[in-house]
Amino acid sequence: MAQRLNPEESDQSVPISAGRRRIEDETLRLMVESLDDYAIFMLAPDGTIRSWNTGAERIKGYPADEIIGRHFSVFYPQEDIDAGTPARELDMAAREGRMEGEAWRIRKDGTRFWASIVITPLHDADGRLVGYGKITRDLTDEKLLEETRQSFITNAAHELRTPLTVLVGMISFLQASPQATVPETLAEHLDTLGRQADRMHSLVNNLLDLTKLEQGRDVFTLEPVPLAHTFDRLMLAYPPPKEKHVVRDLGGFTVLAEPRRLDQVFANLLINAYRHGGNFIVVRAWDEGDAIATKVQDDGPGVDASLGDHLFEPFQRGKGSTVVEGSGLGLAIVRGFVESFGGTVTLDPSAEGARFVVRLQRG
Amino acid sequence: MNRVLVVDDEPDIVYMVKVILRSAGFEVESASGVGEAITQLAGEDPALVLLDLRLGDGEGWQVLAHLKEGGRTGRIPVIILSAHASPATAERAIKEGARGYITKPFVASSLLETVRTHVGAG
Repeated sequence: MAQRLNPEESDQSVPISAGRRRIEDETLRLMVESLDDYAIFMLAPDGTIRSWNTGAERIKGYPADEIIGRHFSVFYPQEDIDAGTPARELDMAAREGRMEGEAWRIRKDGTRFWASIVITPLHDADGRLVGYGKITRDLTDEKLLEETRQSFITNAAHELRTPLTVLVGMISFLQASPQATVPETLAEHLDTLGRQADRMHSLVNNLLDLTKLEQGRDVFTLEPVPLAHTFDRLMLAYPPPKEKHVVRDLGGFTVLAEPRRLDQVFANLLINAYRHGGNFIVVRAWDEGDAIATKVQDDGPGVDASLGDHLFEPFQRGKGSTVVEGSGLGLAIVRGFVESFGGTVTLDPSAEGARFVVRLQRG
Repeated sequence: MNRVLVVDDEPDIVYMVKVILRSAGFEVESASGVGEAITQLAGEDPALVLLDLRLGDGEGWQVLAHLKEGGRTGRIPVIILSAHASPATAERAIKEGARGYITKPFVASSLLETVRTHVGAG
């Protein structure tokens, strides 16, 4: 049969020429070898590794010459090997025509990664099992993100449960025993209820703020804001509790920010200082050339230094903290807002007491 | 009068528990953390302990273990008051010697009923 020059026009019934088959095989081999997001390799029927691609080397850490010829159970955690999982998975693939799943696997350097795995049995023309094709993807980042989300939701639910407990308990008590409540104690009960309702309100607002920040949905414009104006507003909205004093030295500095969010940043830092600090809180701004730095410092016991940068993650609290009021979201919002202005916020671990420094662009 | 010790780091929850139990004739004292609870338990035994699991300076499990290891204090009934709603936590609490487990939030009558089951009337 004459070879056709344009194979695209060939009739389905005409067999593809050996030359074209070779080109296709070679193209496919090159594609598999160079795919680097997927580990794609072949196993002999007993699980010995027969081939290896770039993605497999990238994900699992073994170069081809080191891994070909070894058994694929080397990728499984010891407890899975002890439980006979590798052989069972090959067995399942052979019986069902496919094995699919997600699980922890081990890289050459001993670290774990969360793998999405597909094992497919390969048969020859007579239907005999000649081995398996295995495709693995590294989904560790997705897995960790999912775990972070789950723990955020669990923590948020836990934080909401505390004020809810006070509301449910007090209201059910008042409903059941109105006669037990004289006017003086009723006022105190209502204060307690009001305080916990405020706490829920602020937690819900904080959750919404954080969600908007994470989705980058909050559109706003930066403008020059005089720091002194911000703190004038804050001293009215959040006056220091009895016996506490705020000393201010803000000069005439102006920063680039969105005023409402900037209020929230310093309100959260001030409230932290009111709650955890001693009687004196110092707020001072200075010029650092390309940025204006503002510190909020208290004279309390300071912040648990072991938390490091985790302090700014949602629901982190210092060890040994005996004060757990607040939503656990304040510092996460501070960092989110400051970064949305192109600035930074840090905790100065060398300071006595807690010293937070916010650096923002000059306005 | 039956004396109840409530261990919780949330002042308003302590306030609410005191209001509910005092209205039923119980005497109520409180501790805000593990350390304070252990100090108080060194004194006269309360008739019952209401114990939160998440405390500012540690976990309620430490207080429970301290009570159970203490010989005499091992007999004081402990009721866990916790926002952890999982059955596994409740099972652990019972295994480690707690007599009951109340999930937050709870209504006043269920708190009173549980306390009365273990120590009788206030």
